[in-house]
Amino acid sequence: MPPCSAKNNNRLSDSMTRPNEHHVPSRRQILGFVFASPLFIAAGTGTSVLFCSGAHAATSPQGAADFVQWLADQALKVLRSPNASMSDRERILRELLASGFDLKFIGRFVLGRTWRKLSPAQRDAYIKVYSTFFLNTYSARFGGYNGQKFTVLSARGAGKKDAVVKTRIDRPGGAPLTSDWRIRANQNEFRIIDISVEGVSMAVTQRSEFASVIKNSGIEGLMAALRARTDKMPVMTSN
Amino acid sequence: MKYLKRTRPGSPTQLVAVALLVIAFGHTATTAKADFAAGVVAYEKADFITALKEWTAAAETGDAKAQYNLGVLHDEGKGVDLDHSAAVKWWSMAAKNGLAVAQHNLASAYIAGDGVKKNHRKAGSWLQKSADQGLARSQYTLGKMYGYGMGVPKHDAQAAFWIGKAAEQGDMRAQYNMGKILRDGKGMEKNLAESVDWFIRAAKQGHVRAQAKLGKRYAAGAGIKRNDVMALKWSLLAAQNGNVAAIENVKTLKRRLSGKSITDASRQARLWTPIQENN
Repeated sequence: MPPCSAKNNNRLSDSMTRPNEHHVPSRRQILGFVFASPLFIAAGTGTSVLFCSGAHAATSPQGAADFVQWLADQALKVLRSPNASMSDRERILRELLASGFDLKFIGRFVLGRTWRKLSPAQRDAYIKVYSTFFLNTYSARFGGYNGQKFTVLSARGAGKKDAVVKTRIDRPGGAPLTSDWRIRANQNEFRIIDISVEGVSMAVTQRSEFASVIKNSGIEGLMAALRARTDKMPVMTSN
Repeated sequence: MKYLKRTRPGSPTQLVAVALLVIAFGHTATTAKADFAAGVVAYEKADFITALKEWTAAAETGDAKAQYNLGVLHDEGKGVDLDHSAAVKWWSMAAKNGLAVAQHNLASAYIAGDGVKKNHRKAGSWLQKSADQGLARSQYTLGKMYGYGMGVPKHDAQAAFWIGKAAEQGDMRAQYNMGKILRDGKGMEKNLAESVDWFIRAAKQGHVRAQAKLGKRYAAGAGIKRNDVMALKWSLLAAQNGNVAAIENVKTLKRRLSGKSITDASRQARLWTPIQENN
């Protein structure tokens, strides 16, 4: 996995002037963020996503925009490679997704208040299952896109620590799709912590879905459902 | 066929009819096979619209693999809007045709409640079929269900049996679970040495919790000869992936190990790469 550093070393200087954006967020800040903003994730309906861990230093809007563009370039490279099998594409996309998204942060967010009730071991197990669920679902979903044009439209600061990058994806035979990518620089790496597609935060949607599963069948029921979704067999490609 | 019965055996009419039947059915089978293959070619090129078309043609003639693949396309929203209930419909068809992977995915849908009402009992009964056919992933899940008493009666020996089957086939989660089963003597006789053997197999494949357990076993000399360097190596590998127990274990080990041992273990951890068993 090539780091973003080669392209973005010039951003390192930003970190010197923005040290505040690199401390570990306090509980109050995390809660503030959670209540203040719709968080999240990938597009169900046709976004092509992409990611890598950047060597960027700060969540400057420009840096975040470069990061999103870099990820898009990486993903489109995979998606357009003519000789790669679907399972290869999806495997590489999984790696891109894993390094581009802050899965721990997102997994915690979508669990809502239940997170606080879990033991450290349960949290570990949940994050592992959630991450696999996330990566399998979205690598499969994005693995099929190859005809898109991806354009970064704008980027702005958001809250104290984040940047939001607005993008448009032009799809053959479909209306263009606009997405807001919420990016946070942490420990010198950019990570996606939210995607809103056409204004709908996937995190918020997922959080309410999870809440209803937990209400009916507890955290174990949620884990079982996530495991079952994670565990499905893929397309058969031979007779 | 009634028509055939009315004619004399060996009459020209009957022979023609039989020939026509052979051509018709033979042709259908060949076509279905060709459609399935064409679907695969399209799928690999990410041309899901064509894959959908080809597999639909094959599925309609009863090709279970094509039915199954259509289920996956609907489940993942490829070439078609995401539709879990359509996925369930295709998987049901292929499952009834005896295809193990379809039985497995149908069971997954029943567990998750995706596209169908959640029903653990039905999930258990489909998993039993695919596990019987030897699908490791189903064997593992069925074993876990026996362990929890979910959709099947709670039965530790059945749990150990099915998880063991999957473990032997190389499923690393099953191997990790076998390590715990043999450690606790749950469903089979306790055996610390065999327990470590399973943790080793899972750890070598990159199973993080197995690596953490293995680190602890080496540190304690439980079921395996004590070896602090190996203990630190495996604990470091698990700790890198954020395993809380391993992070603690690394701290403890670093306090009691010499500088040379620490360097040695760190080097081994750095050079380590997972080796997946075929499964």
